[in-house]
Amino acid sequence: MLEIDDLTVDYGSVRALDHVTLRAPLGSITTVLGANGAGKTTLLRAVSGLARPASGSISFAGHRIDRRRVEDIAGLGIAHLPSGQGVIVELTVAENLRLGSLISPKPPAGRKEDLDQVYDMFPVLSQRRRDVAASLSGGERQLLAIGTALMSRPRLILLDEPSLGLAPRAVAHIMAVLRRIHEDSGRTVLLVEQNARSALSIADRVVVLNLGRVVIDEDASALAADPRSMQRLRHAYLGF
Amino acid sequence: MVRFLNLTLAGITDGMIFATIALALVMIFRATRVINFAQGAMMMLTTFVGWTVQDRTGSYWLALGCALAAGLVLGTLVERVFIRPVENGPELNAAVVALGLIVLINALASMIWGSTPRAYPVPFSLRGYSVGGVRLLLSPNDLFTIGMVAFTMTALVLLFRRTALGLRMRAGAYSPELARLLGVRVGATLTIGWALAGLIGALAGVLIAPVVFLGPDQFDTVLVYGFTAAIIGGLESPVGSVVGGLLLGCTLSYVSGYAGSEVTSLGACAVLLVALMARPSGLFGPATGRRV
Ligand SMILES: Nc1ncnc2c1ncn2[C@@H]1O[C@H](COP(=O)(O)OP(=O)(O)OP(=O)(O)O)[C@@H](O)[C@H]1O
Ligand SMILES: [Mg+2]
Repeated sequence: MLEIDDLTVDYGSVRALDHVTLRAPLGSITTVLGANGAGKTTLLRAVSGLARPASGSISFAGHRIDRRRVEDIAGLGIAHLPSGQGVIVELTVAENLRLGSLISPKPPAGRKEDLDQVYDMFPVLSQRRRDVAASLSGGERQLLAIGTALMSRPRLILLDEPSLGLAPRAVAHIMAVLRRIHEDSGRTVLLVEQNARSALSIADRVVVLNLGRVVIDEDASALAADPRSMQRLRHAYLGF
Repeated sequence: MVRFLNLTLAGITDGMIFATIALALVMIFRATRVINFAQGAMMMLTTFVGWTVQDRTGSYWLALGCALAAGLVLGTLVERVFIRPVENGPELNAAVVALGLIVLINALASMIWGSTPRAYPVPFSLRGYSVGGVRLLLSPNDLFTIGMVAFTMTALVLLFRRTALGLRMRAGAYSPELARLLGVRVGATLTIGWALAGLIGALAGVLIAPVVFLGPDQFDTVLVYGFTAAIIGGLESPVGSVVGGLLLGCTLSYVSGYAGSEVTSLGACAVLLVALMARPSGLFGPATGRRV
């Protein structure tokens, strides 16, 4: 589904990603873990076209996307939720959601159903639909960002630290939502997290980055069962 | 009483003219978050295009059409050629580029059309209607002006509130990166914003020219009032532009009617100050404060 091969991304003289290869198979939840500065955000930005690779390739559903424009990549069905700022705060809740649905020309009937589904899943958004997104709490904004992404009917969802700054209960809610989205519609999810525990609780596959390199790429259940891998995970995070 | 009525009527017409300029500024601000200081120069250029067509063909409407078309083209060109390269830089860059454009366009216009002010015709009679033997300061042409501005305002409100393009434009202006991630072609919405502002500016120019005449710097005073109206209205809202324009137009009309025309610009200052003291981000501006 998503195939990243030998991807290198530089910011000037800083190498953020160093020959990264990974697969996110159709319908899986892959989580990308790693310490600060490991290159997780850069990985997502490269997929959605916001960061340009120095070398390597990214393919989605069989198409090369690494040289395409951000808007076009989004149009292929890739939704990217940047960390902590996934909504347009000046627009209302309803406008954010409508914007998500504008990505592909669909009949309005389909849009209405999508909208009902989102409001159904997140009743709080339904109550606040006329309010500007700036008036939502951090957790509510995160739900709105996910709802907006869903309105675009994405095939692949890239999430950058959706748990950032949220209370444990809200984190659990977000993770349950992701699991549900995944189970209901078989969407492919690439989830970047600092919060390894909650990410591991829903992931099928785990990729750990360290200083721009892939150091672990394993089945989530296998990783959890294997003390040596857990050791390596700790090492990648804590450096010992 | 008649005098008050007439001052009000004159103020409304003037205010609608200020409002068109304000609408053009709001259009660009909403679509691109840039205040287009070159709006006046651009208007002047497109009005000269209209004047030339009028001069050759004698048709007001053909001239209006050509001026509007020139506005669309000029807006597009300015965005693509001058604004795009500085778009990602600090906001001051766009202002500096706009100042450069003013100089460039003024020089161009002086070269082609000279610097003597030219008269610009009106499409309808300037004779005021008379009601019960009292002549009003409201002519068929004033009604035309008011109608055009009201139409433009309504069209803009509908564009921003009701259409997909309007939503995309606002999204692209507020948050370009997020908008692109949601599939909005932000480059295109910026260009469309400038093109539409060029169009509105062209309309403003053609409506103003008969009053102030047409020359490289004939529009300056009225331009200042247009900016003032936009700021009173909050820079964000088409309705705000028109309300700001009307407030300003009527105040100026009363001030010059009752206190003398020497103090009109003081009147403008007073309206601006009072409005901004009441609501610092403009009467129809965002509720959250804007840092200027
Ligand atoms: N715009 C930029 N300019 C220069 N260097 C950058 C830029 N963005 C990221 N970097 C560098 O690239 C490396 C990877 O950054 P990235 O943001 O991808 O890390 P991350 O894994 O998302 O970290 P965090 O967990 O803190 O979000 C870091 O060394 C960072 O300093
Ligand atoms: Mg990051």
